[in-house]
Amino acid sequence: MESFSFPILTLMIFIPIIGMLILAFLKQSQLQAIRTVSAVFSGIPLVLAVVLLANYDPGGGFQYIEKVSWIPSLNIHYFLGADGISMPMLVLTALLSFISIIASFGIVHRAKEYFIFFLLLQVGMMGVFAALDFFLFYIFWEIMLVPMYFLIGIWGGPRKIYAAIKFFLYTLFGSIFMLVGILVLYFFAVDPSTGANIYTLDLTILAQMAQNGDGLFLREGLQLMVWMFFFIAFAIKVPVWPFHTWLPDAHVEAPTAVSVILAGVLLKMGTYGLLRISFPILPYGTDYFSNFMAVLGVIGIIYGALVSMAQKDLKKLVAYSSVSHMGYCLLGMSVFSHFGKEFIVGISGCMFQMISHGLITGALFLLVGVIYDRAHTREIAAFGGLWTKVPVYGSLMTFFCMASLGLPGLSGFISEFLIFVGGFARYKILTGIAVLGVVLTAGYFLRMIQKVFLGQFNIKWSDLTEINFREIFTVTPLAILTLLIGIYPRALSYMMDDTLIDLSNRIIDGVNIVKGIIG
Amino acid sequence: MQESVKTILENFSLNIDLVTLMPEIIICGMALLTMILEPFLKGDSRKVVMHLTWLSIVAALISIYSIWTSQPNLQSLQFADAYRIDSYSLLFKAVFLIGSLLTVFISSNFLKFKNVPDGEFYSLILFATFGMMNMASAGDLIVLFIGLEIMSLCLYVLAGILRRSVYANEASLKYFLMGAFASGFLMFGIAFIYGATGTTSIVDVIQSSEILSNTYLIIGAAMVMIGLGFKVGAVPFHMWIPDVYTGSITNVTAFMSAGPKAAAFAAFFQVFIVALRPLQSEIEVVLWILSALTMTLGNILAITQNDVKRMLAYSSISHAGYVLIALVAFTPAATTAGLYYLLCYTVMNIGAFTVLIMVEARENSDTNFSSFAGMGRRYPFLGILLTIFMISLAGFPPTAGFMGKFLVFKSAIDTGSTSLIVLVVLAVVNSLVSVYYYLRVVVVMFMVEPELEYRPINFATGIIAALVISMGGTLLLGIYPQIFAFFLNTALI
Repeated sequence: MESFSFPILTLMIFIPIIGMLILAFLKQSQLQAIRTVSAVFSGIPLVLAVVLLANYDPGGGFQYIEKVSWIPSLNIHYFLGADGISMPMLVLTALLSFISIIASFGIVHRAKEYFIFFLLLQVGMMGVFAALDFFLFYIFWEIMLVPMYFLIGIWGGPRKIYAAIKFFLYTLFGSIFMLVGILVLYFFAVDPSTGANIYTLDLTILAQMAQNGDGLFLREGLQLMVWMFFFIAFAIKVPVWPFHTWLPDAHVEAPTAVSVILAGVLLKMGTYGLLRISFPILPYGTDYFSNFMAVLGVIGIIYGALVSMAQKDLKKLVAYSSVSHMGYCLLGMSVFSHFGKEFIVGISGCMFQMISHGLITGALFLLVGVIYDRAHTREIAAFGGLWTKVPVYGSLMTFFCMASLGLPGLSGFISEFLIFVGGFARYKILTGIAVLGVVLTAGYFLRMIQKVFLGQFNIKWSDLTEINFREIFTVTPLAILTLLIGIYPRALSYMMDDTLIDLSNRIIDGVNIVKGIIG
Repeated sequence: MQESVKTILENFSLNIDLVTLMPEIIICGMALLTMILEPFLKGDSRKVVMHLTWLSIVAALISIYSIWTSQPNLQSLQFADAYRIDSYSLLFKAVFLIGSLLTVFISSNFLKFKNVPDGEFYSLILFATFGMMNMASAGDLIVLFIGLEIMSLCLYVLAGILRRSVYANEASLKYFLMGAFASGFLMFGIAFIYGATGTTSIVDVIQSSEILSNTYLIIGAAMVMIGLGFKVGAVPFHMWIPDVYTGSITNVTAFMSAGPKAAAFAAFFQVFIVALRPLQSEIEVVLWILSALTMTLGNILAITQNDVKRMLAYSSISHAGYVLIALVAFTPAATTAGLYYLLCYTVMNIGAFTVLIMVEARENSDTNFSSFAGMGRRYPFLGILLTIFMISLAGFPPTAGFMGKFLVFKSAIDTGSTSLIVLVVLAVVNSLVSVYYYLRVVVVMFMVEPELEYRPINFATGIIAALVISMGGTLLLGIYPQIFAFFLNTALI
């Protein structure tokens, strides 16, 4: 296992804090300095993430490990590391954070505080994806809520305070269940050799115990209960269908860059949590509830798409499309390993979808923000024939809409294809219904393009200006990556495959052990 | 008869160790000294009293520290087993002293602002602290009662120290009448326990063979529980808290919500976990209900408040409910967790009150939510501090409030009993609810525009010292609890 003596993950997570401190000493009026400092301190983690990516060894398990005893009396460690699941997420987070900071340069009202909160948000997000101790994971998970709450509550739209509180309480409602689940895990962690309680929250040890079938992992009912606790926490974040009602409010009220982060990173934390925690640690529960997940996923796909079709507001349309697209993730992960240990099509489709949805929806929110800044409205019916006026903007928008509806050659297609292949192997009818979602997605995106960009030009917008250089700069990397993954998916899959095969083996071993013992 | 008196006298040994009594001696001595000294001082020299007070508290803290380091695993019974000094009671005393120290720091300027003659204030604080220390070290129910009365009498006066305010008078009278009633219950309960067991000692666990009448013992335990439940503010004995906390001058409210509450819990732990252990199964059920009611009702009532001070009063009820979980768990680890929680609560709650006092100590200001509108913009740094106190009170990582809750919940789940897991789930749901009203302060501070320009806040030295200590405590207790490992490794029993 390669291990850097240099604490590069810690550096990557906490460097924005230095930026926050510098910002605290700047004056509100020094706008240029505020922007530069935040861009630099958000950019360094991106550079580090790329360095990590370049040195990443796909077959090496957890890498860049840092493990320091933190609260010895509780056996809690400061434990970081990255594997094939977290590595792409770290890069995505660093990239989207940096882009969002650039995209926020237009913020003038209380800019200093805005960027301070944004950098803190970045710390929390990176921490979640790098933490390998459940306690640390939980702390980062919660820390992230605070800046998010402020960002929506201060810089949001007309109903910002309502949206901020709703977002906060919903997520917190989930995380308190997670906390109870954590406590239960803590007390049932058993040393395999002696059978004694070891009280640990080390995710790698817990996963190992699940694979070997020690301790808690033998007790059927308890495992199902804890699984459900975690699922509530993660499902709210994803958001899975009945828990999604916070999402449209938060997205519509949040400022553009915050929507990008919400859609691009925060939603992925839910699915990441399932893959990192529920799957390896509670394999029996995962197996038991996999049909349940698949059904919820398909409901999400269809429901999200149908609601999107009915939207009059551009941003709400993109927001509901997220509900639909995250449903694909759930469907993909629910077929994890039904056909033997090496069958990872479903899960890897889920990973592809996490990344590609992050890129595409992030870009869509940025583009919606671009038009909103100029027109001060997002109502689809208010536009018309804009292509003649803003051709570059129109092409970019169309490009990302096509990517989102799964046009072959772009990343959305790869992920949906993998999910359908995986899904069809296990759930023929459900997957059949889910495929309908693609048609619906095409329906609402094409309808939107038609109403906004085609048709009769609405002369009200005759002085609309074209997308500027900074805005193009923010979406370009996303477009390049979308295209790259679409054409050469191996660019992503080489990182994940080994980890996912390992995960799939773990689940099957864990399930077999519990099933063998139970009956 | 004469023979037995003689044997009692022969066995009677005071066994006093002045070194381990040093903290009490310092505090009590300084309380007397400041009371005598104060009438002879005039004008600016009266500040001496305040300085002597905080210095003596620091001295007492240092003496606790030196006792702690020189005699680890201290177990000393003094005054014929009526006074017990061990590491657990020492830590409780440290918690009280920290609460009192912070109170002194925030009081000086505020008393001047409110035109309160500050002479008797400091000696009352010291006497109350002395009473609390007696409660934590009580080896006998009578000593416990005396400590409780010393503390309570001081608090009755302190609650009404704002003599010309109607609300303060109401608070003082209400507190006194209801408090006297509760003391009556406590005394009556002690009498019943004596009747049932023939002893008032709480040093040893009562052996079931010693119990003469189980019924009397249960009646006695119930009455003691009512008396102490009143001091803790457990529902349904909480009625006094909102009015007394709101009516009293704010620095006294801060004081009352920290030390005296912790002291009542110290008594609770000793009486119910050590002395009345044989009754565990009966007591557990009652405490479970008490805890569930306390945290839920306190929380629900806090939501509707429009005054930050009153909101904090109700929230302090719900915090008592969380500590009661540790009592229900009935294990050594739970007593540790309860103590840790009380320490966390002391620093974060007084921290929040400190900011409240700063806001109140402006011209034409009060403690309503509207007084906070725009504060976060005018004083961003102070706003962030109050935000951290609030999220800590709400039990949010990585702050003290979270670590305290984590330890209490952990100790409860560790018992493996289903009813406790249910209680923890209830507590966790309650802390979710509490986020709503704690964050309301933050919303008003940062997201609501003030009607007029925000009136300036006065930063006094004492206030800044209190802010530094409470913020340092809130963050350290949450982020790096290991430096408080001695806390985590000390348990009752």
